[in-house]
Amino acid sequence: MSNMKEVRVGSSLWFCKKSDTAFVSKMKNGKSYFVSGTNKDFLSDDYSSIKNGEYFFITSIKTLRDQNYATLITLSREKDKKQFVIRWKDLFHFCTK
Amino acid sequence: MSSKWKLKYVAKYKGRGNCWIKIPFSSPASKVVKKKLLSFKEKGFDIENYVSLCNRKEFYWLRYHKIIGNEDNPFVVYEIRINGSKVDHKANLISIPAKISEKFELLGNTPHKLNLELSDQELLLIQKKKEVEVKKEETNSVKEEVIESLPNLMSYPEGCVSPMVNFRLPGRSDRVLFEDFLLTEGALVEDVI
Repeated sequence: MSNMKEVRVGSSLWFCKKSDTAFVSKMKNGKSYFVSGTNKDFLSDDYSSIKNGEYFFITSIKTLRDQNYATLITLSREKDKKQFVIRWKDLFHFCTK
Repeated sequence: MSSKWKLKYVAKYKGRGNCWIKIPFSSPASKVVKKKLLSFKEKGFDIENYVSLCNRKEFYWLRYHKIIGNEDNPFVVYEIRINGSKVDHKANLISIPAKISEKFELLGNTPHKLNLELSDQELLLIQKKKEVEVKKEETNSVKEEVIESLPNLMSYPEGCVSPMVNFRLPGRSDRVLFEDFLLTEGALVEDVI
């Protein structure tokens, strides 16, 4: 069983994978989303890559009943103070201290 | 009359950044420069700033101007740029026998690039800036090391996933799920896909 830790709104996270293997992309609805390297085909023209060690913190955690209880987290990026949405399963790109 | 004899003396000063020479205070030639500076002062030139900057480094810096004299008795003329290295100083010249000037070391760059003409305050600011940049680099590199050596702690919202499930990064099969997710969010224009 893997190590686990509870996170909440306000928790700090650091991107712990290789630099430039994940991105934050602003989509057509005006919102920004975390896009992993596997899904980089979905990147829009407006995106930036995430560097190893970059700092983020959680600004919201939502569970969507009408999306089969999908959990969406909003992170704020220290670099530019911008927020983006990330699926819970993509949180494995990050680690806590 | 041919001036080809000058070429061998000029050669030293050719090339980018080779116009400047330095004369350390310990060198006998520095007395000649000092005497010349005093003569400028008597003529009404302000030499204070240049002298105080040279005192800081304990050498004078002069700029090559031209070769004069003749083949048997050549001299190298330098400008002593007392009002800043970027300005011509044709009124502040000093002639030094070529035999002596052969031994002068090149400055290696312009006084401006070497920060020789900055005030103490300006130098201090530059030093402080460098220290901050070094500290930043050290912090970033340390942070990167720390991140890579941390155990792969996973985080998940409470109650959403069974703690017995082994987690992995989403693989290729996630593409379809991610596409659905973006469509549900209205983040894509459907007909593009």
